[in-house]
Amino acid sequence: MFLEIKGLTKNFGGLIAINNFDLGVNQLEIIGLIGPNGAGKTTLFNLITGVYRSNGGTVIFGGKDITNISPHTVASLGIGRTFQLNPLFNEFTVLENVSASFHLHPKSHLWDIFFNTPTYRKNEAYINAQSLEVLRIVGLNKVKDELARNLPYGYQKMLGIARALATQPKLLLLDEPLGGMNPSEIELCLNRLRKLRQDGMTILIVEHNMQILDLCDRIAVISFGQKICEGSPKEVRENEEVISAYFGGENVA
Amino acid sequence: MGVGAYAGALACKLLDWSPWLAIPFGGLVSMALGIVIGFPFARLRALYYAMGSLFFGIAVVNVISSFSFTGGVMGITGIPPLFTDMQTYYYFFLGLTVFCLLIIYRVEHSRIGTNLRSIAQSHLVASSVGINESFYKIFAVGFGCLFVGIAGAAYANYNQVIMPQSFGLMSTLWIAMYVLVGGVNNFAGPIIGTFILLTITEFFRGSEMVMKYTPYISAGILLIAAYFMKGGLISLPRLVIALFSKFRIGKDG
Repeated sequence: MFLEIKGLTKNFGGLIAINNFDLGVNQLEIIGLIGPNGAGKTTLFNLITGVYRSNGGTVIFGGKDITNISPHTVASLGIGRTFQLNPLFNEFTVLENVSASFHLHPKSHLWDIFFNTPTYRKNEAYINAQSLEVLRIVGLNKVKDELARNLPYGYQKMLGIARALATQPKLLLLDEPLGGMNPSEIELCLNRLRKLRQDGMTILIVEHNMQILDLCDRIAVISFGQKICEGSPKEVRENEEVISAYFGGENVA
Repeated sequence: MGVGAYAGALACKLLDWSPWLAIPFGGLVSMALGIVIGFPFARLRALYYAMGSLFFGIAVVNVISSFSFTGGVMGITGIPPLFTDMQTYYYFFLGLTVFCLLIIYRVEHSRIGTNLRSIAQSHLVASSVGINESFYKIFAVGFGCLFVGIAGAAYANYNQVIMPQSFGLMSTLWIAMYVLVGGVNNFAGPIIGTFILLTITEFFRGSEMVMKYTPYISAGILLIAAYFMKGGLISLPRLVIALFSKFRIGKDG
C-alpha cells in the first residue's frame, strides 16, 4: 500500500474533527474524498502533510512512518498538495511561483548558492527549463510573466496544481481543485487531471463537485470525521448512508 | 548592534586583539547570538516577532549595563582606533558598506532570497513545497545580525567610546524608520531611506531650534511614508506614473 492511514484521530479542544480514520491508497489510483461541509476532509489533508499534529493513529507513506513530521519534510518525501483557498506567492510571476517551488529538486546547498558555483548555476538553469515544462503541462505557459495575483481564478487554481507538481511528488493531494471554477474551466481541469493520471501520478482529491466522481477509481465518503462508506463511484452513489448524509435523513415518500 | 560593538571593543581591550580581527569578530558574535535567539523567535510570526525582537534589544541593553566587565552604564572608553585621520575612516566605512551591500545583494537575488520572500508571502505554501520555514527564518536573523554586528564593531572602533544607551530603543527605532521610509521589499529602499533621513538630520545639526524638533519631523515623514506610500520612497516614481496615467484615462473617457 502506497499511502496508509490507520486510526487517525484529531480533536480541536472538545470537537473531534477526525475520528479513528482508515484509508489506503494504492499506487496510480485516483481516490476521491467527499463529504458534507465540515466533515473533516481538509483537516485530514493537514494531518497527512504535517500542518496539524494528530492525537492518535499513524500515516505511512511508501513504507515510511510520516505521522506528525514537519510539512517541508513531507514535501521532500514526495507528497505535493494544493490548498482549498489556494494561497499563491501573489507578488511573484507565474514562472517564479513554479521555480520557487522547485526548491527540492535539484536541491542546491547553501554553500553553492552563496558562492554562485557552477553547480548552483546549472541547477537554476535546469529549474528554469523544468518550470516552463510544468507550465506547459498545466497550460499556463502563455501567462508565465503575469503576476500571480492578476490571473483569473481558474488559472490561479491551475497554478496551485503546477506549484505542487514542481515538488515532483509521487502523491498529489488536491483540496477542492474544482471549487469556484466555471463549467468550461472544470472541463479543462478534469482533462488535465486525466492526463496526469496517464503520466503515472497517484492522486487524492477532496471535492464537493460530483463531476469528480467519474474520474476516481474509488471514493471514500467522510461525515463528522468518520468514514461512512468506501467503494466505486457507482456503489457510493447508491449508498443509503451517503444519501442521508448529503440530503439529511431518509426520503419519506 | 550593541552586541557586535561590545564584542569588538572587549576583544580589543581585554584580549589585545587587533581591530582588524575585532570587527569581524563582533559580527560573528552578533550572528551567533542571532542564531541562538532565532530558535525561539522562529516560532513567532508577524507582529509578535517584531515585538519579541524589539524587546530583546531593550533587554540586551539592560544586561550589558548591569555587568562590570562591560563597564556598566558608563560603557567602555579608550578603544584603540584603526586610523588617526577622518578621511581614511571615511573611505574605510565606504568600502565596508559597499562590500557588505554586495554580499547582501547577491544573497537577496539568489535562491535564498527567493525562499525568504516566498515564506514572507505565504508560509503555508512555502512549507508545502519543501522550504524549511524555521531554518530560513533563523538564517535570516543570523545573516542580518552578522552585518549589524560588523557595523557595531566598526562604529565602536571609530567612536572609541561606547555606552549601552547608544544601542537602546531609540537607535532601533531609527533603523526601523530608515527601512520603512525607504521601502521594505526592495534592495535599494533602506539605502535611500537611510541616506535621505540622515541627510536631513545632519543638515539641521547646526541649528539648535530645528534639532529640538528633529524627532517630530522624522515622525511626520514616517507617518506620511506609512500612510501614503506603502512601498516607501522607492515606490514614489511608480506612484506618480500611476497617478498620471489615471489622469489621462480620466480625460479620454
